[in-house]
Amino acid sequence: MSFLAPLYALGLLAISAPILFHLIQRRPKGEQTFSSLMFLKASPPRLTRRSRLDNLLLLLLRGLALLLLASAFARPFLRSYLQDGFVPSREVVVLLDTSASMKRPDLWKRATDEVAAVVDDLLPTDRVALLAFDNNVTQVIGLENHSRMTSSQRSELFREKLKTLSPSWLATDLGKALPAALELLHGSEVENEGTRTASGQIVLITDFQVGSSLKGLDGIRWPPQIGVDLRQVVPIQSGNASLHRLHPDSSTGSDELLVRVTNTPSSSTSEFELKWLTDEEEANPQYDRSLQVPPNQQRSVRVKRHPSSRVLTLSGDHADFDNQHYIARSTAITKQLLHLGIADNTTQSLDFFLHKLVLDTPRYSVVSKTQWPPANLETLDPIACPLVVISQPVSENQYQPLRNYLTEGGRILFVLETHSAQDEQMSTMLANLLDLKSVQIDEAIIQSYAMFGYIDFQHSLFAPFADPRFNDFTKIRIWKHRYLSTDHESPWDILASFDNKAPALVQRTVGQGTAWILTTGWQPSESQLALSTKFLPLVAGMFDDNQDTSELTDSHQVGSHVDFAEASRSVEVVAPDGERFELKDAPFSFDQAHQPGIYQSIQDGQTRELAFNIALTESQLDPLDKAELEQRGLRLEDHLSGKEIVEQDRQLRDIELESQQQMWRWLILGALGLLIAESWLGGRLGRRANRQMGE
Amino acid sequence: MRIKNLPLRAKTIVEGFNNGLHRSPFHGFSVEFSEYRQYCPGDDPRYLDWRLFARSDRYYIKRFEDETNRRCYLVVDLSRSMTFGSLDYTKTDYARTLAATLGYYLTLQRDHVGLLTFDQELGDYLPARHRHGHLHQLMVFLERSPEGKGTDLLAPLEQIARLVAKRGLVVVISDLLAPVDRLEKHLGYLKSRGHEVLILRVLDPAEVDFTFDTSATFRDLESSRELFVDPAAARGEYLKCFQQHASEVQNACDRMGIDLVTMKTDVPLDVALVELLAAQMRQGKASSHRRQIDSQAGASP
Repeated sequence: MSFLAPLYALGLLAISAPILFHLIQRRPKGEQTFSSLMFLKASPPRLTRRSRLDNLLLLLLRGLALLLLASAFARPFLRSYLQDGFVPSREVVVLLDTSASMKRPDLWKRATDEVAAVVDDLLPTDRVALLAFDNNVTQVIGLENHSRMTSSQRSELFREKLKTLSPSWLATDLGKALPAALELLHGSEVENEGTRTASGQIVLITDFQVGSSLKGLDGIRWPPQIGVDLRQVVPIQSGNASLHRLHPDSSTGSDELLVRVTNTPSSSTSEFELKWLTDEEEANPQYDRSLQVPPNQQRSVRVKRHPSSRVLTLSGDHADFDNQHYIARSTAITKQLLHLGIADNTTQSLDFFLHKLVLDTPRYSVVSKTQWPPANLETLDPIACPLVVISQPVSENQYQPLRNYLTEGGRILFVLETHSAQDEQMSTMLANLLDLKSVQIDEAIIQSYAMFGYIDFQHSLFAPFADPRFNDFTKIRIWKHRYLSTDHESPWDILASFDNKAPALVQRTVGQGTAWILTTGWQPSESQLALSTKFLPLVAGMFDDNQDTSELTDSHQVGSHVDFAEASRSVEVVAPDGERFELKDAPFSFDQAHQPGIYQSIQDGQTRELAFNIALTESQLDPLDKAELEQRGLRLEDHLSGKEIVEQDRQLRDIELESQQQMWRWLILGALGLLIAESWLGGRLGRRANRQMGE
Repeated sequence: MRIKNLPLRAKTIVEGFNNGLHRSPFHGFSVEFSEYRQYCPGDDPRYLDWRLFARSDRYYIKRFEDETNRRCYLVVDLSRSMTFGSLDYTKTDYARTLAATLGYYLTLQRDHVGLLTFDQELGDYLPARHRHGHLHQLMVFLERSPEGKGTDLLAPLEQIARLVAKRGLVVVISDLLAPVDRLEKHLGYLKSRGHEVLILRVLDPAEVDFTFDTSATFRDLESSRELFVDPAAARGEYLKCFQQHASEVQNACDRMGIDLVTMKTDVPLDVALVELLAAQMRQGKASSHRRQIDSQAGASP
């Protein structure tokens, strides 16, 4: 016989109460006021029959009832049903933080020791997995890897694997790691369906820094049966200062850099020094400088760019892993806009407005060039020169190189202006280059002016103007334009036409290339197009239809993706340690940067420098509040050792057995029966006593 | 005690008393002859007894007991011990009625009545007067509920002695449940000032006979001291002590020539009054007779 709540057995002490009540000499109930006690003396109370035990049977019944009640509350059960020897098994996933912040002195050793301690504490039947995480999650040891091993073999396996691990340079993403561990536990739950599993647990060993990303946890409904044991490893010295560059793109080519030094709230130091990493030991006052940043503050300073060094170092704080900041030397890619027409610098010419266009993007800069008569057209490269504007008919021997350029993916914009359109050669050139039988160009007769009547805003060229704020083309007046016709069926796509139905801009695809014909000029003598705000976006759309808004910067975070321009044939990236990564298939994306440093990208023969630095969040080392996890529904609990688990399980089974047997019901019934008997007997004795007194 | 109104109660008793007796016990007290004294130069010649002069050829001054109107002070004990009562009413009720009856009766006789209530401290004091509304005020003072705890006769008796220059009758209504030695000292002080002192000792039958039968914790009304007492065992000792105290009080009063009348609260008040006055008259006659003999003995050469 065992008891679930043995403390209730203390209620057995209540049995002594009736006996005590019988034996205690009771203070007389009566009280009499009297005028004066000066003539009275205290007389001792006499013993009465009350002081003796009157009725042993009644006392026995009451005692027994109390005994049964106390036993019922103690919840007795018989343990003989128990099949001992059953040891529960559970799944434990150990999540080990291998982010860059773990590179701090002593922190990694503590973390690995913690892992070993957790594994040593487990029962032989427990299944344990080890996941290493930073920005990514890596399964080091799965749940099934050691199913037939003894405890010592398993511990040995973990120690061996831990030796192969080391902190990376990547950021911490708990929002990825915890769901991965949960998924692992869930997967094993499905496998183990039918067999009894106590519970799953995640042991999270991390420095739990403020910079950890928790975004991935927001959408997850955390199952209540899976607890998280957070084991925070704390460094000896807290506080950190971090260094990062502000506006890495805006200062391209500038002589100065704007950098920001941030000091964490728990920091104990406030004096820092910025120094370019060179062979010289001494600080160079021209480039290096010292500054004061109190804890929980940040300061932005301008630093002069060192001619040879690309590494700016920060010194003065306790954590060194993030104290080097790599700064690339920017070299932008140049592309060409070629105008095959008459060079004219007057404000009434087509060429003048073409040269005024600024088509530079963060990814490349554009050089406009006018050529007449055309020469060396064979060397035209669709990547180096994405757009060719032709406003004068070229000679017949230039047709083939232009055609090659077009079929290889080049783009040509034919502009029919007053002078050239009259030329028969223009029609011939268009027919030849665009695979048309014949093209006829006639001057339109306009009374006052023409306007754009129809625009195909579905087309990618005009799509940027589709918004109602920008789609007003009616302010552009056209003084002169040409009719364009051909006998070919469906010769081109009409992207825009005038209000007299005459096509204004047509597009025809030839091979991989695209050709447009604009039936008016943009100079003020022809139309107001060049003076309108639509002109630049329109030409820019023709120049680069990729219109990639994502900037190709030269400063990146370790582990982040870098997308290179689509219009490249091949991209090769050289890591600081000399390793080469060749990117073959478009879209070209590089995500193999696993360490900070200066990388070289070789793109179509042009070499650029890319600086990869540690993520800024990784430098925020102050500990995160545990409540952040609990707010997201995670249940934090302490990790229990094997013995504690066995004890907990035994208690659970006791509760189960007791609820099956429910002996307390019978005890309560017995007690009720005894109390009824006691009442009956008490009443009978009382009546008898009254009768005797009456007599 | 069924009549709640104290003045009405006093009036009822006095009227019944008058109807039954048709004479006033106090009548003549004030004009009664007291003594002869040899004339000294300066005495008022109006009081010379010319008849005696005719018989004896000596000048004697005839002295009377008092002036026409007596001054009577009712000193009423309103301490907590007086709140005890084994009957439907307490000793306080009895004492109040007694004082009110006397006051009413004396007022009817046009005597001056004063009042002094006390517990362990002095309570209310009302000088002896005979005027309209005085009796009402006296009744109001009497009706105040007792608040004090102990009994201290010294202060009220000293007060009487200090305030009352003219001699008069001091009627002390109390249970006298206090040590005898102190009592004797205090009463002697008053007696020495020439007052006539009458003590009406009010006692409950339970105090006299100790009629309790169940064991209980007895609580002292004045000191709140508690004592467990088994009456069966304690009765003998109590009665012995009580009797001893009563006899000591009597002896002390006798020594000082103070009249002590014990009034049990179960005896009706008019009966008690009759007994009281009868005793007074007897004693008064006896004492006047004694004084007369003394004076005659003293007067005769």
